[in-house]
Amino acid sequence: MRIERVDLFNFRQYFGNQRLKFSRHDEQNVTIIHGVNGAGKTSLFLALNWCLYGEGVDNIGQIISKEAVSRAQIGEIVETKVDVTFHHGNKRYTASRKLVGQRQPSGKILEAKTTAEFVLMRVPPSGIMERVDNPIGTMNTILPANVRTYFFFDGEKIDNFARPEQATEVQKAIYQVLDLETLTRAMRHLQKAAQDLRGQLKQISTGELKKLVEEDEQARAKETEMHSRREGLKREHIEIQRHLDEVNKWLRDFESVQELQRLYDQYTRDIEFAQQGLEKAVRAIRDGVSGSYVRFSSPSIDAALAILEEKRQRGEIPSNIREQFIQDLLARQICICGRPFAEHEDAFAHLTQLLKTATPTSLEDDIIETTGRLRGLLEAGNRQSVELNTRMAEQVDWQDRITSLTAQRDDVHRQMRGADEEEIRGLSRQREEFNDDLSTNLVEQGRVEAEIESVRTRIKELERQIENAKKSDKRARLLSRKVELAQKAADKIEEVYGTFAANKRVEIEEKTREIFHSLAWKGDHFQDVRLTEDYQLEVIDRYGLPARPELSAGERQVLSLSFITAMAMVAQREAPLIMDTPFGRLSSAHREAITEQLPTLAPQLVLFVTDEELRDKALENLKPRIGAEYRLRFDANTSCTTIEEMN
Amino acid sequence: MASLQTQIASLFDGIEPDVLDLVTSVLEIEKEFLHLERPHGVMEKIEEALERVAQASIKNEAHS
Repeated sequence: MRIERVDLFNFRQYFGNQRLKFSRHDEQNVTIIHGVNGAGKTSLFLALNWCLYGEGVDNIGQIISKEAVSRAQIGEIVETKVDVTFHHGNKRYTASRKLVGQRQPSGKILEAKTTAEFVLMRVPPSGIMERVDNPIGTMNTILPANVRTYFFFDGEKIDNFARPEQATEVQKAIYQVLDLETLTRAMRHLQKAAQDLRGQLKQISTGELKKLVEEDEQARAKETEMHSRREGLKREHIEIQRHLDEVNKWLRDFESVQELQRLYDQYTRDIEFAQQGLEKAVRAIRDGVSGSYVRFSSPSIDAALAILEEKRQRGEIPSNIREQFIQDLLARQICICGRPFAEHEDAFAHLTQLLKTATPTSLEDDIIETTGRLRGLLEAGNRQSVELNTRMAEQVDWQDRITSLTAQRDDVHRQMRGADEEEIRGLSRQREEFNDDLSTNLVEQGRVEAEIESVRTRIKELERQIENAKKSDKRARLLSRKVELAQKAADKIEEVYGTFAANKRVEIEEKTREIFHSLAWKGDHFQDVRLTEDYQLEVIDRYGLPARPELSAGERQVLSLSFITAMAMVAQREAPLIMDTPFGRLSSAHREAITEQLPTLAPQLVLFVTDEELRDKALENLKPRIGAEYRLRFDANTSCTTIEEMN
Repeated sequence: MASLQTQIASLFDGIEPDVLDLVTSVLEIEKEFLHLERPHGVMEKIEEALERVAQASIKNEAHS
């Protein structure tokens, strides 16, 4: 990131529009802004921070130009705005932030709601300016807000890192500037994701599919067994029937019971016939019920016909007089009563009027057809109803007949069982047993049939459940893969984190040492600079002893500066170093040493300075590297500052 | 010296492509939310990345 310019509008003492361009030159990379205390250096520093990160400002009253407010009428809208244009990567960005307020009768300014708008525009190398969708997120990928404090800093606080109690600050700085926070957050969030996904996986992975498949196999095996049982019963039925036929045949041979047997056979045939009749009636009822939707929809059909009739009566559906009929009368000029009429007569005019209200042929045809169909459906429903009632009556009739015929046949059978001949009685008993067996067989067949039906229903249900479980299984597979990926990613980040952090600490230590030695004028006195494993920034003197407690304020500032620039260099962050009054507490020797090295430590250097802190040799050191230089002129008459470019 | 991003990316050299894809995506997401102390929506974005990478991984497995 290199800043191109800042545009201020009614910002603090900067009344109206004011612009300051920064040097982005590789060699002459220094921009110096001179100003006496209170001229507006800190306001400019604040403008940059506020525009890019929205920080440092609580309300519009803090930043809006008092001059602008004083010139506004009561109730008039006043605006303050800062634009910062910068380059990052190969793109040019313009960040804009503004606040809008309204002047109150008291002279104060009341901030309008939702006016703190932050807009980030971007221009690709060969493109048209576009608005960035996520300006805050984008700004934070360029230079995160928490990292920014190590690049845009107040010179008064620069020695913070070198204070004995600031190990946590040092660690935090490394953590943020070197993206270690990104790594730890990623690791923590991936671990949480893996944990959550495991919970979901546990919920859906109950071996449900396996259980269902096993049950399906068992059900199908049972169905096969039932089929086999049914076939066996059918064969058994045939066999019993054969025995029964034989018994009946033998009984027919006995002259004494021939008549009874004939009756018995007749009743048996009648019963069989009645059973066929009963079965036919039951089938007809079943078919009738399943196809009787028309019967059940008759209330709807009645309602539809009533609506059509009502519309016809209201005239919404035109009369029944067909267009063609009227046209024929007009063409023939003969009334339906047979009286001729001419064009000038009332009859002609009346028919012409009727023609206008006559139904168009197509619409009338449609209405007639619809009405006809509805009536047809109604009649079909009525017919179905009658048919169903008839079949149900038949069913009852056949059942009654079977009961009666069976009773009569049993009566005959009892007579034969009481016959004098032992053989006849024996055969009759056998027949009774076979009939009982036949009855038991039929009951068993019915039971097996019902069981087969039940198993089939269960198999269909299982098929549906298996299909659903397979879908769940797919989900389980996906969840399982997500858990695996999240865990592997978290583990890998954890694995590299430790090594990366340790290596970077050593690199920062080496770089800090190198920079500190180039900046500190007591080079021989300070033998070493260490960044310990517990992130203590330490200076070792020539006696090998920790010298940080005895560092002067200026030396602490130099140590901090060395650490910050070392961090920026190790992190390879292309960010400007913006320092507000950095040399105020330094002695001339320190200033001279720092100004000699400072331009080489960052790609862009912006210094807000007083004339007192930057003069003589220190200023001379910077001269060859200055690309832009400004003076802030404060006018005591207007309390406003103007930015003047120096040549 | 390579940029910090390149240095971090190089730490993950040689790991499974699916895991690398996920790590890269998650680091991008985290950077986007880094300015927030308690970011809302970061888990949803990570879940989206996980879903995408896992789906692709299963698909690739089926094709290979």
